[in-house]
Amino acid sequence: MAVTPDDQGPTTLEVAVEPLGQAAILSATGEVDMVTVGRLEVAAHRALEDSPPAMVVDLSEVTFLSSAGLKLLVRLHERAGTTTRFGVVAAGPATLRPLQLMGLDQDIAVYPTRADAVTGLDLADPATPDR
Amino acid sequence: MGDPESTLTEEAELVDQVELRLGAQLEHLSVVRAVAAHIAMGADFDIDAIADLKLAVDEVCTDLIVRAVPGSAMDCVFRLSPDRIEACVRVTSHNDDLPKRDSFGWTVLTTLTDSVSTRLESVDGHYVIQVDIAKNRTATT
Repeated sequence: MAVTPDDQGPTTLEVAVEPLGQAAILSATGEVDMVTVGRLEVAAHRALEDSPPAMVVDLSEVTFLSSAGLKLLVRLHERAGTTTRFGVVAAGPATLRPLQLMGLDQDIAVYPTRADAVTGLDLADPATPDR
Repeated sequence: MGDPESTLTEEAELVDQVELRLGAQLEHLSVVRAVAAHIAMGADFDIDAIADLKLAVDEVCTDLIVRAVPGSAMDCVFRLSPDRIEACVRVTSHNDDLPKRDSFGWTVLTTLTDSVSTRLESVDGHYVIQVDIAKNRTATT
């Protein structure tokens, strides 16, 4: 059997970090539960270490978001503070619904698509050099 | 449970019941979530209610697994009735701490379900912690 970071259990979560200009976009695919939340947390904190002007956590391909995942988003939003504009991409009952039910969308900017996040967070166009 | 009911009645009750017994390990969470979602789908819950039940069951199990005696079992019972699904989850713990009602997780639970209750029983120097939740079928109009 191939040994991959996802061999920790039946829950799978893959996290990819894609820079967009100076911004960091984290896209998660799979389920965010107590077993996998650490992977998203490590990747997100690593991305925030460089104090990017903006960070997006794209949950478009996430099929389950536990309370541990919700709490992580709150912590990331707090850590981003005023240095990093922070946004989440979420749609559907697995991700957007709990964010809304818990009222987290009141504090955290939530966008239905990545394109909306790029526009909403005014992310640097990679083609244009800074300002 | 200890009622002097006839075996026939007990079997009739089991018709609408699903029982799962698994190791109290976080690695099994995805199995319990899948079963919860499957039951809610079969009961014709709408997609929001299915997601709510799945998240609530995950929350209960995560909380109880963390409290469970290492290597012990977790029992989950799902009961279907025409208007609701009940989930009862229990583990054996070394201590009598119940899920904290001022925690974020508890707020998630009470927000997503129609009823939440906890029970604590002392058995042979251990504690059995049980959390019962229920999700009503939402009016499909």
